[in-house]
Amino acid sequence: MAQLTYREAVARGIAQEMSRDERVVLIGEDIAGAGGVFKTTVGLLEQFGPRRVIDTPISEQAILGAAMGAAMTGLRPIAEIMFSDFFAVCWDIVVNQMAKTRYMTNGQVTIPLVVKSGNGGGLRFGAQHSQSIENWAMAVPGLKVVTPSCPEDVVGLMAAAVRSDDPVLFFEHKGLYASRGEVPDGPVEDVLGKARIRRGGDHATVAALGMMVPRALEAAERLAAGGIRCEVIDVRSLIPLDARTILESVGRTGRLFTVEENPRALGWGAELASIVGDEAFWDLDGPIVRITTPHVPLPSADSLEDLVIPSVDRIVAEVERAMQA
Amino acid sequence: MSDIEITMPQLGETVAEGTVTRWLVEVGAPVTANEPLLEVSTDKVDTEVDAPAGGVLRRILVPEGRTVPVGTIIALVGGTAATRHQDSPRVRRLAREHGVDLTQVTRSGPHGRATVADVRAAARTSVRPAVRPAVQPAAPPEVRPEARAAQSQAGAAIPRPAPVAIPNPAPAAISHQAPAAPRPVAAHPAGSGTRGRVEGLSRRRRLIADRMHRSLQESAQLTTVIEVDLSHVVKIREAAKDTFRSRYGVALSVLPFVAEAAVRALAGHPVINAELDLAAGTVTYPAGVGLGIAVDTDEGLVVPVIRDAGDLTVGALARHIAHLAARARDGSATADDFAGGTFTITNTGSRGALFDTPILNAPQSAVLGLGAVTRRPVALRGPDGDDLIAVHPMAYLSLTYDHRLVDGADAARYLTSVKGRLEAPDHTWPHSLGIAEIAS
Amino acid sequence: MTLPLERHPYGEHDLVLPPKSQTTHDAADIDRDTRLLMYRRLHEIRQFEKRAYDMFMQNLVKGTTHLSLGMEAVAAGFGAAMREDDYTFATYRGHAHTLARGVPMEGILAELLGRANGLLGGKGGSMHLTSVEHGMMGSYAIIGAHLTIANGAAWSAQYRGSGQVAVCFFGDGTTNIGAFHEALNYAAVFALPVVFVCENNLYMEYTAISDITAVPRPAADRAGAYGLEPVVVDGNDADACYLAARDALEQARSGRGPVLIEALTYRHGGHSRADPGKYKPPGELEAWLAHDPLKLYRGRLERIGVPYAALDEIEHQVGQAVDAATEAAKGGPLPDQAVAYTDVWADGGHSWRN
Repeated sequence: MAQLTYREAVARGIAQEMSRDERVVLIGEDIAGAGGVFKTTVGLLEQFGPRRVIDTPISEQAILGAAMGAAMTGLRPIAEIMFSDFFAVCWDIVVNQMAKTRYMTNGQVTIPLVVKSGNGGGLRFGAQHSQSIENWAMAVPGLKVVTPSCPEDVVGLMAAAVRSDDPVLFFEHKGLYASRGEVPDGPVEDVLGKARIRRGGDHATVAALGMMVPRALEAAERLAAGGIRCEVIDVRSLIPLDARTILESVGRTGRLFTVEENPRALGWGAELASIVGDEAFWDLDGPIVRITTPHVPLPSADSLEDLVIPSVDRIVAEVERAMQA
Repeated sequence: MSDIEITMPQLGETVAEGTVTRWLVEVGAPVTANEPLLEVSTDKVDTEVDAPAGGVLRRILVPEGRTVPVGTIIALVGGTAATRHQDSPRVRRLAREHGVDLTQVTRSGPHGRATVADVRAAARTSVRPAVRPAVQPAAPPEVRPEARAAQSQAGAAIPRPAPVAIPNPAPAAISHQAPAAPRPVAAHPAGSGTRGRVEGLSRRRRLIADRMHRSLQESAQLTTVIEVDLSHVVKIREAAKDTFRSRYGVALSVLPFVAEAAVRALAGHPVINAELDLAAGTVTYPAGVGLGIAVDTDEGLVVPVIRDAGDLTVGALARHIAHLAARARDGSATADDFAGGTFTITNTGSRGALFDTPILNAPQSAVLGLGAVTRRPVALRGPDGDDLIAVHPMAYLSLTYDHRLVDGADAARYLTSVKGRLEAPDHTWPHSLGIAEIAS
Repeated sequence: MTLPLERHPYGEHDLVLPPKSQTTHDAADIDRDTRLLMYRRLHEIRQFEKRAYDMFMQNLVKGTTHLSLGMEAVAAGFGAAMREDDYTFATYRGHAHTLARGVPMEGILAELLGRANGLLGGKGGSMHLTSVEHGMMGSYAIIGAHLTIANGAAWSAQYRGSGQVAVCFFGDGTTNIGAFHEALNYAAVFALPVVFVCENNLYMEYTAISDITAVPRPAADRAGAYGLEPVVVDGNDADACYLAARDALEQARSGRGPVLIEALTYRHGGHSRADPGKYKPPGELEAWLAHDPLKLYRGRLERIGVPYAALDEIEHQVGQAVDAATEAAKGGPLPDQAVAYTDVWADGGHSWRN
């Protein structure tokens, strides 16, 4: 058991898979010599050499196209899009190409690749370098979407993503890179499409993703002191979505709160709310409450960014308000 | 706050007018939201009309005994702001499951809401409150908040039908929560408080009594019983029930399987789905099947109808039955829900009875009773011809029919068809229940 | 092999005429069997496309389609030069390149008709023809994307040391989209075994490429920016295309990096089914019809002594194959409804939640 930072866990997960499978290669801007702008690929060039760890031009379409073409023809590439905001300049490759080609060709083509990307706010980078864009990807049939919230999950879900035969968008939360956690020694394996109950409780279910998971856990701790026992679920994987774990939890608690860093409209929590409203309506003991960033771009000033992204205080307040309403 | 106009409610698509039979609140007296304000009767249904909001009954515009068209303003309510109890779906479901009357529970939640704990506490004490007969205006007003909140905001009067057309005095309700623990029957006052008293009959009870008696007087009723092996049905139900419940929020009982088999078999036995009019010298064969489902409610037995049930799948029937039963019980069913029946099923077994002899829902020519499913030893012929004894889930189906029209052999042939379908089920069953979905 | 472009002012854009000579490659070092194969391919593509057009007119083919009538020589020439395991990446105008890899006509036509025996089971349609077993890695309908994907296949071949080359066909309009430039730079930087073939048919959709491009040769004039040689070939001469392809494939295969070729050709019809091509200046189509790839190539084969009867026999055989494919396609069943839900994922299904 080792204490790793989240960013070290990214490199650990990639190294684990590259050591296991010669077909795994890594490309991206500044990921080789520099070890990544977020230092998530430190040491990989030294360990695996320039044939497998490759610095690319600032050409996001070329990067993802290369990953896709290589995946179609026998490799299992990992590509990095430095900031998830940059998906906007290569979204065609993601949405029209990677996601659809298997379907359009009636299964002739298999595209086993991972696109890893620094996602999320809290670093005062402003509106073009802080977005949480999992929802963009979730809206596209054919893409798998994961967001780990702790170092152990980073390693395990990276392994699961690399071993998946479908395109996986792997969102690393920039605000968590410095966080630490235990990672077991030896190979770490995990599965896509499985949520984790981080804390048990019988009064309310709180579903959270990425950086919102530690905040939800802290909020749950405070709410417990006031007598509200929350079950905190780390959603982890938006596609495939572990709706069952959430439905079962709501079956026990009768309440669902989602904590979402993304802007309000059509966030993943809206889909969860729809599922729970549809399939667990008679279990509900109160309205489903979504705690999200409002529908605004992210401001850069620390005071403003902290205002809009759900905080521990806001989670506590929203849960208390709803439970007493 | 301006006055709210109370209008003669539309009690069904085919109902054009209604008669004010009794005002339950005097002019000037306070009224509470969702509490009965008056009783209305039509040719199809008798019902109470609830106040859409709290306040004071300012004026009565239509006196008792007067018949007016639907939409006519019959009273004005004004005054204080409304107070409403909005119980959560979970509370309402738990109340249904435990047979708890939400109008009677202690309400410890915010804004007067009942909580899950309130319902559980009420269920533990298992005191089933007596239902106030509708003909006793002196009794305390009944509060039935369920399924009303949204409607009442519109300001229109809320109909609460107390439909009639009731064939069967046996407690024959639909168990839509499986496994159903038998719950107390509430159609009659319970507990020791009624001993040594004389009470007036409720309107509902009076109608039931009248219908039952007339049905027996006017036709020649005979009951034929057959035994069916429900092994296949039970197996499919077990496989499908969790998925079905999670997908539709409805528990899956054996009843919809029997209903499906019964309805399908009608196609080949038209005389079972017919109406005799001896005076006119005619037999009427309806174009489709209007499947009446006997439902046990707090106020007594009612028979809502699934229209055009002839080609519904097991899954669809299960959902229809559950929803109709829920509507019948929470009072949101309308007169249309009770119209158009051509054949009736009663789930005699839901309270444990092995079989009974149901009474015809006149003028229908037959009613089918489903007895309790019990595991019992049956003699089987083994593959090599040996006699074997095995334990199978078995049930009795009892068909009461109008012997003026239907012969005993007709009835037996029909029951044999139903039995055949239940014992060798169709491959469409799993599919309609969502357990063999393609490429899911 | 660079050809001079004849440019004449006309209206809002220049009239571009085909090369005058049709005998340039009569003596080229190409064996007769290869030439007869190319002749067969030219006819397969021509007759197939005409049949596809006719079936549109009968409303048997739904949606849209993009025909290569007049542009057959590029596909025929490159197809004949490629190794069996080389990769083809094509655009939505991809019937020709699919046929050029030897994919049977029935599956292509049935796909256009949305039938179960279609190449993609009815799930892709005209714009996405793919047959991985023939090295036809797909037809891509968003301009520019597939150049980057072809890079990936080339990278994979390079990584695996397989000696395969990816050949990527695209139109003149593609040269103005960002992905084109990203892909060329990327391929050049990593010396990827990829051949980019610009089919310059003078029009992007309705607008003349010359009207909206800063340089006269949309592909060739960009080559220098990425350290590549400018190469323009007569895209209506199958031999010219074959020779260019042979050289380019050899260079790419030998590890000397990518090649960019501009093949000058002409679209006889509109951009798509909906386009009658009214924007073409008078005289242009006539000039290019006189330089028609099939007419040109038949003339050459006759000059080098192939008997008329042998050529007629090829045309006849192709006609019969198109007829047979038409019947088989028309007779194909509609897709099973279940396939609408298959192959979203590699496990074959479409489930996104439990």
